Amino acid sequence: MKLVTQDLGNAEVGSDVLLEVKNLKVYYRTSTTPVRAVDDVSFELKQKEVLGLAGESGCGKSTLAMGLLKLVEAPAYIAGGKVIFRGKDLMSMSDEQLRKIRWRHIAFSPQSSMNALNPVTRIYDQFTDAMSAHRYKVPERKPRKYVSGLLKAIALSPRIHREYASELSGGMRQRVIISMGMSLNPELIIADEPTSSLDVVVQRGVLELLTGLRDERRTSILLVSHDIATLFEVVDRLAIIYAGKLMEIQSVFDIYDEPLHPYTKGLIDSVPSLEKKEIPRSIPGLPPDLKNPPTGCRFHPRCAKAMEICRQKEPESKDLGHEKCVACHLYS
Amino acid sequence: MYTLKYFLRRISMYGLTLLIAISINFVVPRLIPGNPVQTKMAQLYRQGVNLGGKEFIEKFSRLFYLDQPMHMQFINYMNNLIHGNLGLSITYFPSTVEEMIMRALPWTIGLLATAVIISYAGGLVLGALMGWTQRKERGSRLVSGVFVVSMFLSQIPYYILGIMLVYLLTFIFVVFPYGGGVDISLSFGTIEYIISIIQHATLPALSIVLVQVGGWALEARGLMVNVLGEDYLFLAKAKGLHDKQIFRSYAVKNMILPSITDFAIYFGTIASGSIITEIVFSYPGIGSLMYSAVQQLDYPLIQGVTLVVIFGVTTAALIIDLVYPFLDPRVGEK
Amino acid sequence: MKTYSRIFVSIRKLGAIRSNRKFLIGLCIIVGIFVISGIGSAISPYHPRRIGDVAPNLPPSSEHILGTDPMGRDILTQLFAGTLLSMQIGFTAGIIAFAVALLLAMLGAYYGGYGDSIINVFTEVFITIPSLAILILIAAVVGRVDVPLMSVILAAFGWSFACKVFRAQVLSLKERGFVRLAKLSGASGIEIIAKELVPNMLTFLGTWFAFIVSGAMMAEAGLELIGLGPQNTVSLGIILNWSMHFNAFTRGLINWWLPPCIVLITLFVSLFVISMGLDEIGNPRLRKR
Repeated sequence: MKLVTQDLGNAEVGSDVLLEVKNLKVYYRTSTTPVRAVDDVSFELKQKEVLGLAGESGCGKSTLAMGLLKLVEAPAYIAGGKVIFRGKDLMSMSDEQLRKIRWRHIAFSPQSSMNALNPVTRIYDQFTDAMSAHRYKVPERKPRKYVSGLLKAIALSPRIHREYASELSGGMRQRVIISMGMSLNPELIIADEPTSSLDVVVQRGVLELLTGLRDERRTSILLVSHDIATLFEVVDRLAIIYAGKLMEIQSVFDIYDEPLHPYTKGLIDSVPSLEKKEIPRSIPGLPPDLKNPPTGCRFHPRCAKAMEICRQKEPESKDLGHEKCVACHLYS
Repeated sequence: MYTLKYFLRRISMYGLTLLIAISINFVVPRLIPGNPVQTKMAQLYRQGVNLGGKEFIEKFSRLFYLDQPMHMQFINYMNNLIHGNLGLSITYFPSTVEEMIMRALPWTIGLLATAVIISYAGGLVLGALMGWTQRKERGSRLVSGVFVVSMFLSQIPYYILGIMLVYLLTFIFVVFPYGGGVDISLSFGTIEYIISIIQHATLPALSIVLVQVGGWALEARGLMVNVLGEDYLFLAKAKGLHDKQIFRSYAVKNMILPSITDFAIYFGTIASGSIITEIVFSYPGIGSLMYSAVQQLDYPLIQGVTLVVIFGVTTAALIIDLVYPFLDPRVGEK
Repeated sequence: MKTYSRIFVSIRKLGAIRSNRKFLIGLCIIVGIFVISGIGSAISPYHPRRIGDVAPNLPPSSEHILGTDPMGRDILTQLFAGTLLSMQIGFTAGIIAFAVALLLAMLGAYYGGYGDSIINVFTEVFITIPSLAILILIAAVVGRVDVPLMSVILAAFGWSFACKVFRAQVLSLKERGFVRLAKLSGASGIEIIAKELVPNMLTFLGTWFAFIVSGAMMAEAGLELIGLGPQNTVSLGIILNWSMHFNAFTRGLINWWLPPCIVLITLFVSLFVISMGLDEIGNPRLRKR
């Protein structure tokens, strides 16, 4: 399979680390054992970088994304770990400190946009409430002009700002939310499945919007999606999550040419191709129950290359240099 | 968006309801066999009052249109209605029914308006806060306590609470006066007069308010709990908005609207309950008027008061239904 | 004939009923009041209504636990008899209203079409008309109301709100999988209503039954208070009416008017608690963890 990509530009990825996630654990309380949705995940996100977070449904990627800003709601809770942003650990901050960071420095675009906008407030007011909450100084002190500009940038008429959420289509709402996320010029935007409920044409628009962000404003993006094909087109580096654990993380070109982890290989093989006539192969089996995950490597029950040690010991994340990291016994 | 269709539909429902209610109001008293004038005369005769013989009855019957066939009576009735003529009161003859009602109505409206506004606003705020402060699961004892008390209170009928309050605060602790709307020995318009009005109105209003507040608080809390689970609250939190901002613009604003439609539905219940409450307190509103009318079998007056209540309640509900779409951008067409 | 709905859901709910505290407490209180009043009425040596049965205006004593009223009757006996009658009228009215509401809702929502629209409009009109005003009118006009007639009159308006709610519920259930399956397998309308819809609405219906009865009793007490109740009987509201006539407040006859108030409040609150309990059973999200 060959990547069908448009060259969406290749901004220089900065070398400074923007966000460092260390051993993050996010669990869900139940009446019995907690569900270990995100179990000891660590990675780094650099400045001006687009990092993709891929995995099957239910693998914990959305929970991880929400966990970074402590946005998880009961029964989920942060069970441990650190998220270091600008030298401070977000997990140990007070609510007020965290509030100041949210949106202004790290924006979050949630998974479903249909109901994410306030139905009884006009769009314009939903831009400005964030601005006033963070005391954001709008250029030229003209908020209306600024918001109009933002709307135009996402190809929406400035007249939208008088309207209510119910008057916009799903795609428009998604774009508005991303635009709101951009409005305070954050250093990082976390986009959770920004394209899942949209049709292909609108998906394209949203993706272009996101890459435009990276190129023009030098914002980093953490893009969470189950759609590997889309991720390939947009991201610089790709992280693969399975059953709450980080399996592999590499630059997108490397991962495509040489996927290290068997799961990654399985994911790539399951994407249909326009060229080869092979039938895509899915990975046999089902994702595990996260209350009682498999012993050792969580993927071993479905892995074609499983070895004895995979059943016994959990593989540690190994840094293979050139920005490659993988957690698999094949490489230790 | 507000459409003509919605408007027309609502108005026609209004018209239909009014028509049916008025017809019931018309038909029911006429279901009893016999001539009400005759019955009344017989009653008065038994009490030793003799107003005259057959001629008198005939004259009176003509006055009340009783000699005409039913459909003519109905037409006359409707005709009179449109002209605001509700007939003559038997008990308070020669006062007309309208006069009696106009005398009593301001009291009722004053009492109800104050009580309802206080309980609605207070109840909503209370309920909203209850729901909001309990979201982090570290519910305070105070909030739970208030919740239980309001639940308890909301199930007591106004008049029972009224009876108990009367006893407690009028006879045991002589705080409030009993009976009437104002001390009639005071001259109209003076400060003492106004204070007296307030004094007399407090207990009836309190009976209504205490019960209603509980009900609204319960409802508001439920609505708030619904809103708390919505996606837009999540985004509001992700946007790093202040807690108070979120409470005001995202939570409360969304929660209030459904309660407004419910408010319209409850008008009927509120009006009904307050009628009985007035009777308990001998408050000179249309409730007490209705009571004396019932005791004296003053049919024109009974009909008149019922009519006014029906008209008031349905119209108020209509107004709310028509105004609501302007408040909620999601609604307009049914 | 098989049912396609999850029968085990109904059975599980029966089990849940046993374990839900609110429901049980409410039910015990109501049944308890009923039983106590029944037994009390039966064993009491006094007559609740006969004037001059005993000496009037006696304070509470070991012979007359609540004292006697100004007309020479034992108050406790009155209370027992009154409670029984109030409950009887309330529940009868409740059952009638409930049946009417359910019937209309089922007919309308299930069969739909023209009939449904008519029923719907009819229901809306009845909801809007202030019931008590018309009840007062009817009761005043009819004059000598007897107990069955009282129940009917009370039911005349109590059905409307419940009907609207039932209809909405049936409409939402109608589209569920198991109903469609039953239809496809040839079940008739009545069979589907009886075997599929109703079992899944049990707790919901129970909650509303409690509301309806509560509303009927409130209207009943209200009407009786202003003198419009059944004649020649004693019920809680009628006791309150008498006490108002005899200026019980000024004369400090708290033993006369307070017990009926307390009984009424207890009845209403218990019914409410029952409905809350049923609500919790039916809607697992409301249960405390």
